[in-house]
Amino acid sequence: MTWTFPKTWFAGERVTAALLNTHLRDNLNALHVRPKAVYSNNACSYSTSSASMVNVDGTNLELSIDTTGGDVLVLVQATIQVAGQYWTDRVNLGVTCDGVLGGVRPQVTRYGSNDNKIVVSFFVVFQDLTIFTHDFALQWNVTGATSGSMIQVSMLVREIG
Amino acid sequence: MERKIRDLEFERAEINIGLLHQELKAALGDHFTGVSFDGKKLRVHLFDDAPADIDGLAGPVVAAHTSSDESAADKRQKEDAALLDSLRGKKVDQWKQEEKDRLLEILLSRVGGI
Repeated sequence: MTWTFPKTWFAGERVTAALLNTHLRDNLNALHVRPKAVYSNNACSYSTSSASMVNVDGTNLELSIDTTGGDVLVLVQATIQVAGQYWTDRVNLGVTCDGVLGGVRPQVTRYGSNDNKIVVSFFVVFQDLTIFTHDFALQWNVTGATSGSMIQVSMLVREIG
Repeated sequence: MERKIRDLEFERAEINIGLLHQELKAALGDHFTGVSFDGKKLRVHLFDDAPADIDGLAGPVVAAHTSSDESAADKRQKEDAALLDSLRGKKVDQWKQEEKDRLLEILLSRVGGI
């Protein structure tokens, strides 16, 4: 449902069905049904040894929405395991919009054994996006660590205004 | 500025990611930045400016990879686990000096000392 910038009404102006449908019905629908995309996997088995930021999954964790212009919120929650040295080695996460990393890049550091599971949640807001189809991808890399694994993940992309 | 990455894709049922990384690093050198795996599809990550003839070197390495083989880090981890198990069953005065030295290294690595 497309958003139309609301018109300014004038005293004595004749209100037509077409105007009401465009500026009331369609805009309310647009506010109610914001573009969104979601992916969740409670039993995934992603792993990486990449020192450079790469897509976690080029298919399922690359979500696209047709924005109506404005800001887009990306929420991520993932369960991570880090194989490497204690405390120093880590997995870094990030989200790209159309290939460009934005916002925070959480770091997950190993503690305890390789099997220890660390839950990380973060969000990124991409601001002032144009009216277009935009692609949002979850990325990661390792710093020092032998590898990082992801065994659960949820990702939500939603236009917020 | 992040360097651009391009991927080579292969089908694999299992990998030892640490070992395969070492094997590909030895074959592809600094053009290679790592691998990613989702349980079925293996992606070999190369820097985008890697020469095209590098691509042909990855396939044979992936095909020859044996996931049940162990990397040096895997072996060290198993040896460390075995050492800790054996020390738990002995009194401290029965510990050998080399066992104490290695235990100290393990403990220091766990608290971030080394």
